[in-house]
Amino acid sequence: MVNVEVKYSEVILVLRGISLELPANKIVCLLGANGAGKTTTLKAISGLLGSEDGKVTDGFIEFSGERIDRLETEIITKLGISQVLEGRRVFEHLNVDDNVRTGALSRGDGEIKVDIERVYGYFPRLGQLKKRTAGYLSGGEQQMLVIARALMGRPKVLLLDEPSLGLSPLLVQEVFNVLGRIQADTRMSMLLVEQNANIALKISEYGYVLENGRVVLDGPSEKIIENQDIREFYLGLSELGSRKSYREVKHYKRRKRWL
Amino acid sequence: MRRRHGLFNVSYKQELALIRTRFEWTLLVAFLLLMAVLPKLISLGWLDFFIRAGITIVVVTGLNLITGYCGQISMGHAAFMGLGGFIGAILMKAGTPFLLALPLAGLSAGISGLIFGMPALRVKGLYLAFTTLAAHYIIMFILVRLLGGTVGYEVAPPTVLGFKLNSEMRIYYLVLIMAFLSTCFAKNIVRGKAGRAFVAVRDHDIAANTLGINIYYYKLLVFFVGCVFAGVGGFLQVVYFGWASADTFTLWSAIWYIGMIIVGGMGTIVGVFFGSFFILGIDHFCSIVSPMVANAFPVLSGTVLGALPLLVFSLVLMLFIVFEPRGLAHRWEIIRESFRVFPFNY
Amino acid sequence: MNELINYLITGVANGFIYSMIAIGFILIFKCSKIFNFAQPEITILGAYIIYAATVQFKLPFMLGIGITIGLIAILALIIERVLLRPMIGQPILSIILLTLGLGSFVRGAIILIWGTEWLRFPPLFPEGGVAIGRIATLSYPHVFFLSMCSLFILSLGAYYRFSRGGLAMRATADDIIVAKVLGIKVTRVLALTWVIASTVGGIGGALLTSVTGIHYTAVEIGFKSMAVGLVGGLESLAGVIVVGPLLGIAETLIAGYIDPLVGGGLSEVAAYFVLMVVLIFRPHGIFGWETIERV
Repeated sequence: MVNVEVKYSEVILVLRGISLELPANKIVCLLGANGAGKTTTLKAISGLLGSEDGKVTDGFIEFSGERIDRLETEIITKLGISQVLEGRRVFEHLNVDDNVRTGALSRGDGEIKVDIERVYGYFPRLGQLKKRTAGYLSGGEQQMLVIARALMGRPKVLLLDEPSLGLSPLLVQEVFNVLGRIQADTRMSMLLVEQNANIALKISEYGYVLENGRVVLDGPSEKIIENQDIREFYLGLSELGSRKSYREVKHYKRRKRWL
Repeated sequence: MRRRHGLFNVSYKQELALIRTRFEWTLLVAFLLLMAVLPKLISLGWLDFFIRAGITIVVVTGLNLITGYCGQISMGHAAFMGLGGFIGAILMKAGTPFLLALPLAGLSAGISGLIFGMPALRVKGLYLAFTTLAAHYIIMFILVRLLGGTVGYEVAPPTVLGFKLNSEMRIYYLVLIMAFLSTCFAKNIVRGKAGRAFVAVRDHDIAANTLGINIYYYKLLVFFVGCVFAGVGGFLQVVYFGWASADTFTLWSAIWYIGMIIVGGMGTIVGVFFGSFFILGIDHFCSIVSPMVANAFPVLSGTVLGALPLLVFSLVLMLFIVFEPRGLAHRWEIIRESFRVFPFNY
Repeated sequence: MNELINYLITGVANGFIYSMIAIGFILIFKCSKIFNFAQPEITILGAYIIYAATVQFKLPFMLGIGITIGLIAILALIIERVLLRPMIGQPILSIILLTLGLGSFVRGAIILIWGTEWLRFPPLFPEGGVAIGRIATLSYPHVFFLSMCSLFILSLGAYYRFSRGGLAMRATADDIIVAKVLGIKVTRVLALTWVIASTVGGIGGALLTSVTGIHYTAVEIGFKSMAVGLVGGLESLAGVIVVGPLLGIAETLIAGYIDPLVGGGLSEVAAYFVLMVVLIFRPHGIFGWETIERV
């Protein structure tokens, strides 16, 4: 996406000209605090802005050389961009198996059975829970379910919105391990929006940091991890974990260098 | 109402004031004078129109309080009207003087509003729409079966303060006074504590509850008050028609009233006026136009009179909902604003 | 005793029709959260169309049903596209009133075309009926009702539960945004629900009025079906199937036993009375899902 501006209700300017690039077969992460505009970025790509009275008011978004910023969500999905929404939105009243199958509803019949097997292979726990009503699953299981569901569409690009939200650290590790495996197997590109900067930077190759609707930092993930500002404000590491001297805080407040 | 530039409210009393400037006073007085001499200026047909408009204003003001200000959908309003009308008619037949029958009619409608408004404490939105629909049927059943509805009661012209209401003109003045009083009363409620509580309940009742507003009390209160208006209006209608019959209080009237507050502008006092006059105007227009349409399409002649108002009304209603859901009052505001800031755009 | 069984059977037959119409209603509501107040009018529109087809144009009955289905389906598509698409996301009050207005419009059109008197169908079914043991006879119209309704309800249920299209509908009903993201063409799903709902409504109206005769106040049928839907719970198709016959039975029983005492008319109100009582105790219907509101 290039120089994209997004407004809600024609008044609230959320994305102020951001540009980012998702190369093929790579995982890219998008970091930022709450309200920075990360979810809006994903929604701009997948075309969901309309349902919240939002619009891309400037710039454009391209996929494989074609503009997609004005297209309907269903079409964008058919083109191969799948979004996993934040908050583990499963179809609560359907069972697990039905949920997985909904992921394939946009495709012709073909190899759905094969894909179902594959998906249960990635998430064996889901395979055990096939007939359980999705609304009653635990958070981790639901997160796996929504990823599995998105995979059913055989996407070329997977947009993940805060998959670690509300999960225990162990589960986060498990989910991200699977994500890594999936990426290695299918060579799909992933745009990962996360607040958990640590794990996001570990799994991705490139990263962008979003703040107040602007990209303030971007670069290969290893570089970002080492960046002092990121360490202080997003990773919680400062002065190698030593106690903060309050005298220092008072007299020399470290400000973010990009302001 | 927007105030002119340079006019600030520097005290709470000023904020609450119904009529703020001398300009508004003169406007109001001029309007009232016009209304007062109206009967001399117009023909009988139009007088009928204005009388019915006045009655409608009373009723719709009540509905506006319930639905417009407090957000409680009420499809039973016509039934409450009917109840008031019937009770009033029965009382008068039994010899009660007019001035006593009127408040009693209103009161009885209000109490029934309390009873049938109780589901509002438990259900919201469309479920409430449906319980009020059910209320309509149940009340009409009571009226028809238990109070001899379809045959009805004849209502002799009552005597009010020595005036026998046996001419259209006198009824007109009565209705004028009642419409004026009900508007004042409604405005008073709206600008006071209750009015603000209503709006809070409308906008987000659970949040209002956490702020200490007793939503149960206010929901019941608005039904009571709104239905008192309906009852009074129903009684006025019964007096005017000279006959109390269940057929004049149909579900479709209730829908028309709802349409009036939508078209006029929900939750505004002036919207009631806009809506009532506009919709009744459509009705009037249709009755004038029907014979012409009937002549043009002879095959439809038998049914046009009944159907045309419905068609036009529903079309207007739908257009308003899609394009101007805040009603004529909102349009009016926009027009006024554009005059004020002319020649700028906004 | 004979009487009682007859009442029960008639009640069930009528009730199934209410259920069928209510299912259409609920389908729209589940998928798009729109409460279709125009359903009663569309219901009797179906009745009028069949009347027109069979009486005015002298076509055979089954063809009449086919025409009704076709015309109403087209109407539903037009309604969905023109009126409801722009209204997605508007507050529910507006949508309710819009459908109310739509209903009035259909009503007006009906009155315009067909007038306000009672219209009777010629007898469509032979006299008499099917005997059930020695206890009762099921009159032919009721046989027809029961079979048609069961057919519709069963096939709808099967479609909803087992087919891909049905899965798309269930997904859309559950979470429309997620459905969109998964590539499901929600506009198509919604249009389909409207078509189904309107056609079952029209058929239901046609069926019931073939026995009673048509009048524009027959919108009652539609409103009672709405009551069935609400009492059963707007999210539960199964609930509706149960509640419909119950209401039908209640109606016929009251009409048979209590009405003569009260002077008639109570059976009409029965539906609404039951509705109010149920909603007071279970605000979302007997089988409905409670929505959890957050402040």
